[in-house]
Amino acid sequence: MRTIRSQLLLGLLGGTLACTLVAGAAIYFKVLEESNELFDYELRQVATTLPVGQAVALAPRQHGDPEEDVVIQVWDRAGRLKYASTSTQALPAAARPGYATLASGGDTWRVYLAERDGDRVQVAQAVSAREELAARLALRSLLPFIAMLPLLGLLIYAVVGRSLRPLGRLAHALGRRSPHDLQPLGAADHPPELKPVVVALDELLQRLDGALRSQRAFVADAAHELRSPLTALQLQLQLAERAGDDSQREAAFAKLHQRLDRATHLVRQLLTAARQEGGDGEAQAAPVDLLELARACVGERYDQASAKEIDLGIVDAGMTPRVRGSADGLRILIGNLLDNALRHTPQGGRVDVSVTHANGAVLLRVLDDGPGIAAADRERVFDRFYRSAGQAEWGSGLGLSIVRTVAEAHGATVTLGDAPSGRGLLVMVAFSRTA
Amino acid sequence: MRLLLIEDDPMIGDSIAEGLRAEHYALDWVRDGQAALLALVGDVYDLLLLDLGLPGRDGLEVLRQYRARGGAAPVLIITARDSTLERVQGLDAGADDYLVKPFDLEELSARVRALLRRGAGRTQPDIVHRGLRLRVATHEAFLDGQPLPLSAREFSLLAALLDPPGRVMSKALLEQKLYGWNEEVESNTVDVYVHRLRKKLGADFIKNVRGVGYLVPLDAPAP
Repeated sequence: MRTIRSQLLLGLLGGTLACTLVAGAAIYFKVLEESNELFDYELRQVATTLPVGQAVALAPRQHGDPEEDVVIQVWDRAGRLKYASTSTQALPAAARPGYATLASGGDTWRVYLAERDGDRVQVAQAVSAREELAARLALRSLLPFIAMLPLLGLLIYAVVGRSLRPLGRLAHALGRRSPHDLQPLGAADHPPELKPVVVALDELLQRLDGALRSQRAFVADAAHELRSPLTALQLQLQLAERAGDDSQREAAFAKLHQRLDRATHLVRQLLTAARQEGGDGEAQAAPVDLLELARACVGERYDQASAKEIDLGIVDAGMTPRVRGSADGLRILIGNLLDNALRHTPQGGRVDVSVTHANGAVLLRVLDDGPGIAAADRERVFDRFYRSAGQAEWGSGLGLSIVRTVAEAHGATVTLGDAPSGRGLLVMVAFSRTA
Repeated sequence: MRLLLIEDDPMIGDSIAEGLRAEHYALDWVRDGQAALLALVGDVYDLLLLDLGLPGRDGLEVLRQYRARGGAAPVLIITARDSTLERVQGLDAGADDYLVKPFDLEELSARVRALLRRGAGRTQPDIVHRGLRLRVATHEAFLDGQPLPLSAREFSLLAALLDPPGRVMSKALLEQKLYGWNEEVESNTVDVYVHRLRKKLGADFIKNVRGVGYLVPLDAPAP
């Protein structure tokens, strides 16, 4: 791509040159027209006033200027050439008196023929001489402009360079930045033309900064959160090593397995959270049968539920509610909600899942009869690694955060509420993008 | 020695409790700051193990309130927060030591012993009194250089009376030092242990102050 400077230079210079040429052509034709009138008049004057009586006195006119070189011929009554101002040019006589244009000797001539006392006087002038004059005049008046073109070029070059300096400064300011410096550039120091660019850049920087911050916070949180399961593992491993007899060792190993499961669960949830926040869930949007997906998720958790004697099931409304989205993401969403419900529901409790249509949206509801979530905590539980007070069950602290991320990627909203019975938690996910 | 563990993580708490109980400490475990402040009202604990990242009420706040009300027991912070600033904040808020997760059970025990020793104003690792030497790290006892077989409770009772000696301790307090919340205490259990210890150490070693409690006198008893 051409530089702005060379584009401006070529465009402006070319434009100026073209204008000059058009002006030159206009001057040329105007001069030609005016000089034609003038010379025609002169031809007639010469032809009518030339004293032919004293033909002898007529000497060939010697002029330096060819446009003043007129050829004068005089014929007598018999048609004999009585006089010719030059011997080299033998022009035929025009057929009628008055103005005429003749071709002779490879040139075009403008002539005036006058009949005076039986003699015919013809004065002729070469057309090429007139054109030459017009061209010379036109050229002479254009010369200052043409001479100024290089100067104009230099001026354009300098002015454009000066005007483009803020762009260079901006580029320099950006180029000098470290990858960690995402402070806004500030539109105040830039000319108005650059402002949209600077503002757009600042917005991008701001978004990048936000994304980077949340990434850093996530990594720091993740590293921090991994300490707990690792501590539990390390302590339990030492207890297992200290075990005095087989039954103690067996118990210690059973606990060791629990702690290992927990560490694995956390790592898996971290990975899921990282993937979902990375936008993997938005990749494929296809119609998904939410009820079918819920059935599959419930089926996968049969063992888990029956181990705590929890009655886990789907309230079937006999519909096929479809939403647009990623089946993988939605499976993670439903799975996390079910895992939460199963974790917090006491032994012998009940967890209901339903998928219905409501006000043009598809509504997924998961209802448990666990301790519920205090109203004051209902916003914060979506924060990563937030744990409410007095929570006996261990979780990764990521479940609801992942649920919200997936929901947002699907344009869905998650609401926490009380169970209709007053005991337990009701999670509602409303999908507006139905299919 | 009675310890209070303040830790919200069920698995870490479980393992710490198991490990320290195996070393014959009476240990109570609470899972949040509110419960910790309630448990600390009686101030019977010889040491606090405090996690900082507690739900509801932050560990540092618990520590400040405890110190503000005059709680004097040594406090060991166990936490996943490992920045220098956080360590400084913890120590400045009144903690005596700082242990970052993940940590070794052995190290935890050693720090608990060191803090208990310092809490009792002792610089030597062993408790030594009138020819009796209690090796706290291994729960071994020696009388005049000879190994002295003691049960875990007998050892703990002696350690409570000897660290430091010269204080009269009520039976109720001694019971609290020996038993955690969920352990059954028989009514005359302290008397039974004192009786057994007197048999092993001589009738004069532990004195009875009638109506008040027991003590091990500082000086050698008059002949």
